[in-house]
Amino acid sequence: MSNPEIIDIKPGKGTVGRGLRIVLTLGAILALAISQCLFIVHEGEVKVVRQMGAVVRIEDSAGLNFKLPFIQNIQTLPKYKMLYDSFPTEILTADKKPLIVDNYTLWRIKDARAFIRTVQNLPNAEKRIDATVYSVVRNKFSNVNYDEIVSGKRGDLNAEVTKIVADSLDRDNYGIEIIDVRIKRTDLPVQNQQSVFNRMKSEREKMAQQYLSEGDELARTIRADTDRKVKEIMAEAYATAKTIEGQGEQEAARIYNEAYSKDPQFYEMYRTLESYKTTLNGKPVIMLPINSPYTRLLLGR
Amino acid sequence: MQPRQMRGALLISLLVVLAAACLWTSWYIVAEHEQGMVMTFGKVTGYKDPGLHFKLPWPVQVVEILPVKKTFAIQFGYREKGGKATGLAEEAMMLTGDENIVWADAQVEWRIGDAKKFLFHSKNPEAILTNATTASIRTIIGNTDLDYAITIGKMEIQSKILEKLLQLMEYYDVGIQVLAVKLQDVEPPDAVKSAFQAVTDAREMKNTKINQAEKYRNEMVPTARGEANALIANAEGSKSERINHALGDVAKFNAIYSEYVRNKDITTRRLIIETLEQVLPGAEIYIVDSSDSGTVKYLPLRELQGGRN
Repeated sequence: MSNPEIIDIKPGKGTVGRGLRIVLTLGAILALAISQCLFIVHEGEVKVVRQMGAVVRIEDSAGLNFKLPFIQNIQTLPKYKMLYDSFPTEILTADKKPLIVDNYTLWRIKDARAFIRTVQNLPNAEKRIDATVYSVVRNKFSNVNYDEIVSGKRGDLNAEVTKIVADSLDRDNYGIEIIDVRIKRTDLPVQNQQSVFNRMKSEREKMAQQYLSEGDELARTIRADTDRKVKEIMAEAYATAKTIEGQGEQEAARIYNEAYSKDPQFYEMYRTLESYKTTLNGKPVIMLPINSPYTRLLLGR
Repeated sequence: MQPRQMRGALLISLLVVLAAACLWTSWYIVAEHEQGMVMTFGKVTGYKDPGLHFKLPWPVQVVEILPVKKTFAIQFGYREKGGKATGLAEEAMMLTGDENIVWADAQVEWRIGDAKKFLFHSKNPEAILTNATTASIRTIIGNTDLDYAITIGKMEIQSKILEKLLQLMEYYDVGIQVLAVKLQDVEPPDAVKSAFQAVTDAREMKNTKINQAEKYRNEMVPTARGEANALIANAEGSKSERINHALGDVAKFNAIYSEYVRNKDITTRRLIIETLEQVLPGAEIYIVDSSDSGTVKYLPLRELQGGRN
């Protein structure tokens, strides 16, 4: 790396220049050696040491590590959990209802060696997971009733799907751990949604009508009851009033009878005279027979 | 001379820059709501509380500073922008247990529960939380009847969702601590809202009709009672009047009778004459001779009395 020409031409001045060059050169060599011999494993990842393509070893604890320079190289794989969001898929439930199901899968690489041997990289792994989840969900859910999927009433449905997916991937030894396959959402296809809305509307209209009719029913009952009560009150009062009046009449009759029965003849006369005062009050026309005592009295005969 | 000095200056400045870089990456400040996590060659070797701290220079030690005491929120079913919330139908519309569709949106509050797990246990912990939230809310609503959800069930649903979400996030173990699930709106979808409103109106109408009928009752019954009381009081009055008249009449009769007994003939005559006196002045009197059958002879007394009247 040193340049002999410069040393020859300017030996004195070359000392500093050489020193600088040596420093820089050593630095570069050191840096290269470090970068070739040392590598850092970060948290949440594994480093795969490969030699001529073959996997030599896997470092999965974080920290500083060594490798052979140049002939060994490093591949990084995540150790952390990854989320795979499936595309929503339309299925037909056991009771023949169409349903759009959307799943997500939480997974991670549990065996980097197997992972590299089979799927090599993350996109390939996601393709495998997608295909497996898709087929398991379709098969499984077509044997389950609508309400069990929507409500999670069958609590182990997600666990069942998770287990089938995990077993299936394990069988092919992809080095993938399936942590959870979970139904994220279940929706009706758009055309079914509209019919649900129509049904909901009609249910509410039914309820509204019931309220209105119940209102009429109760209102009419209350009014009729009121009218009945009023009639009852008035009739009772009428009865009471007549009884009281009757008592008055009876008492008055008793009083009159007691007094007048002492001398019926006088009473008749007295009462007749009394009644004349009333009946002949005003301007009555009176015809007197000529031979009546009063006429005779008047005519002086 | 220039090249040598330049080289010297270059070397020195290089060293200075290197030293400065070392110094510059050797200290850091952790704010009050944060936590520092020191990694030595990639491995987590210590946690630092708020304050000024020193470390070995890059690339030996690296520090990650995370706001562990800050509360974050994710929005489900709506997005808030500049204080204005917009609904997100594809998130918020979901099936209920009785095969209806309801609109539900919520806010989930969370914080970083474990800085190391938050950074290194998953690629995107917030996306995992979002998905787990969706699954929890939809599962719980999917197990609830529509009417319960939109009326009195909100609190219970909310606590069930929180329970489910806590359980999931604990299982996923990605360093997120869920603090609260706050359901915002749980209501019928816009497409059917008017029908639900109509039910409310009908219920009010029912009450209105009942109230009007009760008003009628409250008006009519007391009035009738009053009338009934009046009728009875009137009857009582009549009774009293009748009895007292009788007593009065009898008293007068008795008084006259006691005199009559003493002298029957005189009293009789007197009574007759007095009555005539009272009756005749206003009367028109004809004296009729009906002894001859056929014609009636009469004497018009009116003329005799000087044509009075």
